[in-house]
Amino acid sequence: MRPDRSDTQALAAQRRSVLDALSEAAGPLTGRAISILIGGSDDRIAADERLLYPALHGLEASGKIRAAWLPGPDGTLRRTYRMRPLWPPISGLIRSR
Amino acid sequence: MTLNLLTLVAFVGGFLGLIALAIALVRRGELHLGPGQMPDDRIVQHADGAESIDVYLDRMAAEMRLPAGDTADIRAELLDHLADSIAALEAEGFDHQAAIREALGRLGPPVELGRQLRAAHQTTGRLFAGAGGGVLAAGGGFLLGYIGAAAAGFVVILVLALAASLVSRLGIPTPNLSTPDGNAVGNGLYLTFVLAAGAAVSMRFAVRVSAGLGRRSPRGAAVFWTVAGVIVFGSWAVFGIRGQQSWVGAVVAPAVPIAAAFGALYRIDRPMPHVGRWALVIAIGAIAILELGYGLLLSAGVTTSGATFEQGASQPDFHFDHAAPIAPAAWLPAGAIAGNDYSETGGIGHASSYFLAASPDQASQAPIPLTGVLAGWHDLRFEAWHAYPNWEPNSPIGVDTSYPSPFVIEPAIVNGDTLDAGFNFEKLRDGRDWWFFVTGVGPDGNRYRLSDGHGGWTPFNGSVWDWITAPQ
Repeated sequence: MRPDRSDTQALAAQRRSVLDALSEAAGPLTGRAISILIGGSDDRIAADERLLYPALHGLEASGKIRAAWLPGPDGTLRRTYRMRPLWPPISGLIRSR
Repeated sequence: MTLNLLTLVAFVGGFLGLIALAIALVRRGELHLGPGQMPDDRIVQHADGAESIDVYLDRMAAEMRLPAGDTADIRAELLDHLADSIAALEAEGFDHQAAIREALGRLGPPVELGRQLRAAHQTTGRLFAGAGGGVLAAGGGFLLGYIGAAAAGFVVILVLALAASLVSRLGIPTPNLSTPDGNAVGNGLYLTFVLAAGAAVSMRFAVRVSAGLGRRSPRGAAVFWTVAGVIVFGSWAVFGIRGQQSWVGAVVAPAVPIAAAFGALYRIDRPMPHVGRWALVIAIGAIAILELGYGLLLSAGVTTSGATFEQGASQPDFHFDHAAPIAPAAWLPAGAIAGNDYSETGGIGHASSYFLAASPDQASQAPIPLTGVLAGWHDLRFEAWHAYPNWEPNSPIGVDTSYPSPFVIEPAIVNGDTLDAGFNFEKLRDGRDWWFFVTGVGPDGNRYRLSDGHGGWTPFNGSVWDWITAPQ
């Protein structure tokens, strides 16, 4: 079943919102943290959560963002997202040598 | 010599490189097809309301139709998200069950979420990556399976040969398998086994890699690869592989496409066994075994490929009169020596017959132009008759008298001082042992042979299809 035009537009808008949120973030964020950043409050995010994860996974598939399982404050692993860096960190390159 | 060595190094290096690439692709694909990157015991746990959440996630996962690893990761991620949402909603005053309903409701209908996530993962780029990776993995997997099976089969043959040697030393008779028929059957079985193993591993690798990289379920990818594998490997086994053939080889040839389908379909959802550096070590060891074993065979003087073995003869007890009586000397060039030659080029046998002028000095003998000499003859032709197998120790020699007629007749073409004809013995099922003569109808109206002809043997050389459709 092909998504209709309004679905596609809504998903594109959600992707832009996700990219905006991640570009302003200082570090990797979980999907829920991104949702809160986009919505501004828990009440306002209700409608957008339907497309949050399709947008996140679509952006990851297209290579625009990176995902990784990182330990949270309580030690449990959480899937986090961050913008894809243009270059690998120089410190990593130095360490690898 | 240097060029040959470089070619060998390039071939072996290329093969090993392709195998290494296939193994790397399998390992990458298994990341998505395995249990997932997220260990279960590290996932945030939720106690109450687990049932309704599980039902939601199950319905979503069923709609996603993604590989198991990706499905597990998405479930874990959404579980984590829901736990946080439920906790936040409870902090706002929702009771637990209402918080679960609200959190699930915000994610939308599970079927719709599953569909959207499937669309997000199964992109066109990943589809091409899966297809390309599958092709490369199929090539490397085939080499790995082929080499491994060839080495394993070779070791089994050596063990059986040793066992047969011991048995024969004890005085127990063993069947003679070193005949051309035995060789053709043995080669056919061995080649089919090796190809089938290669096809099965190839398709296994292809399905798992294309499913993993393309984010498709292995069962869905297996349908495509089964069709492709059966067509490619089936065509190759029936039409592509050329050499000695037998009915046993023709009967077992379908095992190759069947093995391809088996490799693609049988328990394809199960994770691949860990393949890593040991697969490369096994491949290198298998190549070493094959090289050493082949070298031993060559040094022992055993041939493993078909060839034409000829022998000229002019003996009175070779049953040549069964074909036709020799022509009266008065109708042939006086004192001339008859000669016959046979050579093969590109699978076509070229037979020629001629007369050399009589001369005490052998070196000055010259071919006699045939136009005038054979003026009284007509309907000159080459006849190929079945011959007794001259490779059997106690077999009679010469024309096989159990056949009443020649199995191939070709018109003789006068070409200056020779009579020429072409034969295609290697495409005849029953044309291995042969003896050809030139015969013609003499001035008295009877057919005679002009000389004692030429004998040899040519093993069948063609595909399974050539064997099945051969004229005899």
